[in-house]
Amino acid sequence: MMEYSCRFIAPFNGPIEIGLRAISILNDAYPNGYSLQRLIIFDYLSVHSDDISGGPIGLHPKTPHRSGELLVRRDILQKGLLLYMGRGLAEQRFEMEGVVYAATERTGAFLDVLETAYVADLRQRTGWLFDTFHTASDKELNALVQQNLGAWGAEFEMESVLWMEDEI
Amino acid sequence: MSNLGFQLIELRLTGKDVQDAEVHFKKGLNVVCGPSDTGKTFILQCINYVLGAKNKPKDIDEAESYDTIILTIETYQNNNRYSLKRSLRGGNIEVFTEGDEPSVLKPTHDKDAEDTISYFLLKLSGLENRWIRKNKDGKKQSLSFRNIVHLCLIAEDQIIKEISPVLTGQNTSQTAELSIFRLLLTGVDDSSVIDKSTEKTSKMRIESKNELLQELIDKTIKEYDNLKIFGSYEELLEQMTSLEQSHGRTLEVLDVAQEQVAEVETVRSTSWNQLRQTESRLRVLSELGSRFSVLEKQYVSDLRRLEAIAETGRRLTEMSLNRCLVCGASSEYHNSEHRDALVNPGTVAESCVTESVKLRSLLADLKTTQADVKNELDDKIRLKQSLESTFESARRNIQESLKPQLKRLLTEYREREQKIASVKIALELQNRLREYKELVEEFTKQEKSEADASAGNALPAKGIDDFSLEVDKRLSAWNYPKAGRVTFSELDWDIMISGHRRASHGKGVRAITHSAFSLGLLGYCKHKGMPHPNFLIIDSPLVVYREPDPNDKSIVLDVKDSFYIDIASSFSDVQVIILENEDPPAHLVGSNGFNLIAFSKTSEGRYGFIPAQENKTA
Repeated sequence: MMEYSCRFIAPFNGPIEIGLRAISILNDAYPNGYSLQRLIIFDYLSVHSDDISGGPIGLHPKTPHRSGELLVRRDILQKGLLLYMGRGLAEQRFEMEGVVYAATERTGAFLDVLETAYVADLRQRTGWLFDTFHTASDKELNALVQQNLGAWGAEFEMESVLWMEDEI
Repeated sequence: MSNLGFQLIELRLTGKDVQDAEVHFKKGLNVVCGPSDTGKTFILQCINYVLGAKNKPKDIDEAESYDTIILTIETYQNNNRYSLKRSLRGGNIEVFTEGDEPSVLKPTHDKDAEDTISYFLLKLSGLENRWIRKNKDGKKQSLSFRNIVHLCLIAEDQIIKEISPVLTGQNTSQTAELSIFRLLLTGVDDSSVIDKSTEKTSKMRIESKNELLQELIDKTIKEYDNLKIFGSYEELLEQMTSLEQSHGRTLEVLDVAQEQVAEVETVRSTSWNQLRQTESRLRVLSELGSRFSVLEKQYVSDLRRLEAIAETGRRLTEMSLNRCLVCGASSEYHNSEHRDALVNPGTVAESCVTESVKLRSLLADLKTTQADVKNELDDKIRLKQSLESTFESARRNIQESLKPQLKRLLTEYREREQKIASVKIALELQNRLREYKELVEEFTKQEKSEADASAGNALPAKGIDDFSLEVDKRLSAWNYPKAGRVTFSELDWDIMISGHRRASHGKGVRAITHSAFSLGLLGYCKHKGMPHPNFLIIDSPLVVYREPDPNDKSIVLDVKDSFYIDIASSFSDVQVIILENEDPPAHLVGSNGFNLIAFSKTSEGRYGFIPAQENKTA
């Protein structure tokens, strides 16, 4: 217990936050379930909705090379889902297409309790996500991401100026 | 009346075991007459030989035994007698005089020596230490007695020559012979004549110098015309001065202008550099600004997330935990391993709160930094603007006013410089031209003075006239048929009779007129007091007159008589010796002033010069 409490683990993009986003997404899709991959993509688009033309303003700021986020979420997302599944706010189903995750009947009520503006904004975006992409297949989503991996986060070309400053 | 000169007293030949051959002369006219081969010419040759001739007398059989010639002479002035002795075989001439030691005289003339027969005889004649020019360039030679012998001793082959009596016929000595003639006429020799043989080359040099000068003058004038600068020397000098003054002023202005440009240029380049630096800084600041902006958004976003996570964590903690999803055990029995797989939401919630605090502080700092950046950015923008305007105004100043002005000044400067150079050249050329012209004048003067000096080659008109008169007197006295007066031709250096050249006549006339010339010269010198040996020996002046001369139709026979009469009377105070074949007029023989020496070539009277040999006793 002592060892554990001394170890600092950044809460950002940790199981709680990612799990939170995941159940918000799943809640909008209830009772449908999403694959892990789909959830990863949706998770990215929920915070960087402005990378899609016509989408709402991003929840998180545009950071350089943010598209990389898509590549490192898997593990945490699983942990996050586990966290919420332990409290009955999500469930894992084994279907024909593979393993899918879905919200429970308690998920919505849980989300309603949260008061922060961030959560409100988040729920708006996940709503928009459902409206825009629920009908898209996993394959289509993968293709979209593939195309834009290079573009999302490539605005910061002048960064080299700063490095030069440092050198001087 | 000249007292110079000498007369011949006696000619004597001596030899071993032979009787002396002797002939005596007197003052005035002497006639040695007799048929050929009586030794008349031999007499002349012996006299010539003693007087220093190179050639020995003709080798005649009769003279075989003789070895010595003795000629006695007597001066007119003091009646001093000298005996000149020379061996027939050659060698020096000894001079004997009463009371003195005999002296030896060399037969060849030497300008630096006085122990020559030439000097001796010249001294007696008043013609010693004279110089005569021998060529056109004025080269001179010392007068030798031999040079005037042909005027005193006229041999029979000489008397009929077509050339002037003044000349001997040797071309190389013609100039000298003319000079001698002039000397006898004027008494002035050519000592003062400038020898121009060395100056011949200098004359050529002067000529070529003149040519060169003229070329240079022409060239200089051409150069000057090309310059197209007008004005007198003084005007040009004035122009030069004023040009130089304004040039100096322009230079000053130019310096100031150049300084100005330099100053403004410095401002321009400094502001340019600063501008570039500022712009670069601005870029950096701008980039920093946008990065900070992003960071700010990041912090803000993070704060919101922390808030949400904290809340979610707390809510999750409030909810009961089901079975561990990993191992299925209920929470009471769960061991810590699996707990590690999941983060405790409560802990997370607490750390979020802590994190937020930190983040807020970071955000505050960031905001400060952002403000600083913004301030510096604004400053730099203002600076950039001011630099831009400084730069622009400097640039425009240079471009639009300073540079054009400088250009103008430089052009002006250069033009004036050229002008000054041209005027300088013009002045130089004028100077040069003046120098050349002065040189030309100098050379012309030189040439002229030299020309004047060389003009003394001509014969004095009065002298010629008087001489011609003397010749005329003789010919008239001899009743020589002529029309008008005798004149002198400077072309031939000979007399003209009745408008004809003397040489155009036949031998006989030539002989008699030659005599007239020679006697005329003797008479002239006598009357004018010019130096002359004052004796004359003429061989065969009349002999050719014996036959009628086909050229002369009317020959008056009393020419011969008048000839003798005239000479006897007109030359009584000097000496004339005539050698003739024919006897002179009988009525003259025995009269005063007439010394006849007749050779008979017979046993009657004197046979000839050389006595018929009798055995000498002791």
